[in-house]
Amino acid sequence: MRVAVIGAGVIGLSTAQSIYEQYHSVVTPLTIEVYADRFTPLTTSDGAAGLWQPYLYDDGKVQETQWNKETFDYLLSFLSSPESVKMGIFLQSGYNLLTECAPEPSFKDAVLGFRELTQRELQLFPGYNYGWFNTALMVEGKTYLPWMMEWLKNRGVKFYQRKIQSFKELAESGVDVIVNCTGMRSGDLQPDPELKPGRGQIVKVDAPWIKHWILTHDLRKGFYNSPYIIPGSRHVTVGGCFQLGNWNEHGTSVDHKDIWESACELEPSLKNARIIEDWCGLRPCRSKVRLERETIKTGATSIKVIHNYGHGGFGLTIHRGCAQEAARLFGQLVEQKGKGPKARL
Amino acid sequence: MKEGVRIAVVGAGVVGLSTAVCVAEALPLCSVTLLADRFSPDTTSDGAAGILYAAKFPDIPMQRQKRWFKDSFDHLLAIAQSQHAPEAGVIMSSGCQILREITEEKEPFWADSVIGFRFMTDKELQRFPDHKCGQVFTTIKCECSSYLPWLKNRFVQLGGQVVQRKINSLQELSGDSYDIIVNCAGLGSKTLVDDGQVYPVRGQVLKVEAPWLKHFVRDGDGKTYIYPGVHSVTIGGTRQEHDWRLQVDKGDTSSILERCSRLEPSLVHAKVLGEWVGLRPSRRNPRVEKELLRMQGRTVPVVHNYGHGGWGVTLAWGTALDALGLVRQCLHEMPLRAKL
Repeated sequence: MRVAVIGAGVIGLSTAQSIYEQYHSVVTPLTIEVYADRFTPLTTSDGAAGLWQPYLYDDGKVQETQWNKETFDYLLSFLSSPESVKMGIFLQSGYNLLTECAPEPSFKDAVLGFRELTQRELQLFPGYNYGWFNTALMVEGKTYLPWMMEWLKNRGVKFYQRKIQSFKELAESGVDVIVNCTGMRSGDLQPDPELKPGRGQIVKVDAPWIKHWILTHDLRKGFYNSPYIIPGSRHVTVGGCFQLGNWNEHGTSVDHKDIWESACELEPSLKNARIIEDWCGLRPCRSKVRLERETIKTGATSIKVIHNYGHGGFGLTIHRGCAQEAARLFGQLVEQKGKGPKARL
Repeated sequence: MKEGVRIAVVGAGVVGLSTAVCVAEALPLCSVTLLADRFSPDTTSDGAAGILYAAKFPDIPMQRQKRWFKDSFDHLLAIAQSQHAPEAGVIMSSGCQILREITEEKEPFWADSVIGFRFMTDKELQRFPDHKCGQVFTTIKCECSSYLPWLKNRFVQLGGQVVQRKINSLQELSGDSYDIIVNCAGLGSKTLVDDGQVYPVRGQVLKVEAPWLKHFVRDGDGKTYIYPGVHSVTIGGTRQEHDWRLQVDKGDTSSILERCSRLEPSLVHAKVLGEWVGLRPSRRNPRVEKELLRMQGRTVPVVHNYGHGGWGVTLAWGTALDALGLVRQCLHEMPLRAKL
């Protein structure tokens, strides 16, 4: 079988990985190809700070909460091995700050040591009256993506740098299954009015004395529109911008000023930090993740597509859970085609 | 009026500098001179990771020990939360202490002074298969290689005088007409004031590059620890009593790498930046008290503040405040003629 994954961000690469892991010995031969116009370090996943944390509330999307947890446990399992450094995975603790009491977040059982903030801790953050402390994981795209590409290349997966214009193009070349992990640009392949950009801008700074992530939440302003400070292995990501519907991929000085000023108010020591650069990315936002099979009929041919896009600001957080599910969907296609183990009897 | 009173502080490690700043801040009319043979980066304090953590001393009232810890912690917390944090080298640090055996003791005496103290969950303990229980908390890390110069600057801004001088006995200061001497000479007190109770506990550490490490991990035995700092991670260590060797021991280096990698496997990828040895100025209890010394026909009050062992950074400010209190007592007790 020939499988073409479109998209080489965290979703595309991890889906290719899950499909390989689960089916390379079941379907022979299994040819996996990854097509993308942007590869690491130029994908959306590369610019994200890399903190594993879903949105505070899942609004009933329990499946997504489950996928998030699956991803956390998967990443956590690597910590007992030195390989974790090569993958860009490490533990980091921090604070979620709010101005008022709020229900416990969706991820409280997935993370480590989740608890409410003490009065003394709240005193460290004037203006915030409530919050939580927990230990979470970091998974840095700039390290994780190259690690996954290496992993895939070592197993014969081929990469092609090219923008795919249509599913038909790939089907006509003989691809059996297309896995659509095109994130923000899924609309180019198939219009999806539910998919919208959630523009984010960040400032990368050198502030190695900061060892905790700090996320503030203004429940009225919506997620990520409140300052956040997330230290990484090489620099600190400072942000707090989420503009739904804004397609501008370039940073603006207005946003920079807003982000920087509110972050310095939150963490005064930042005033001493050397600014490295700004970065801007478009979160592929959707009412819920699109993770499903579709059979597209064009004339006589029918194209099998597995969609896996629309992960908003939680792509790194949810990737493994979704990749494993996508692989399960792939398994259904394999059985249908009679290529599964049953077919060999 | 205490004008013109001359105070000498001996020792420029974390205890000496903290005490000097404390005294200079509280007694602006006194002239304070800091005398030391060695300054940062050549003091014992410089190599210490500087994580605020305390052990119990056998003979000091618990209230006093709690106060020492709390005063130091609160003082440094204020710096950590301020703009001065990076320059002073004072940061917040979260992590855990893990124990191989389940202990009787409920909570350590400083549990209320640190932030967010709680016991480890089973899920958190999974990372450490050799350990049975643990404590999680947020404390302060105070890096003396930055903190000492920052304190020295504060001292000089307050009008303090700094003199580089090796003193073998306090009697050598007889000719300098100091009214009060504050002795913060650490291990040097062994000879400086003939204290046979002072002894070294040798500690070796490695500085490694592992910027992905954000939590400290301390084994309850105090010999194996990983302390991520601003620019490097300090891993260690050793506790060799009565060992005066200041040279690096390669056997200790291997042992440290092996023990720490077992707790944190990713250390295998950490580049070793350097090795360092320090002699903890240990004593059964720190000596924070005053006495009168006869010097060339005069009686000079001496305030001692030394013997903090491996808890110098942790207790410096708290004991400095106590030393200040003793200095005030000395001033109060001074005969009027000394003030002319």
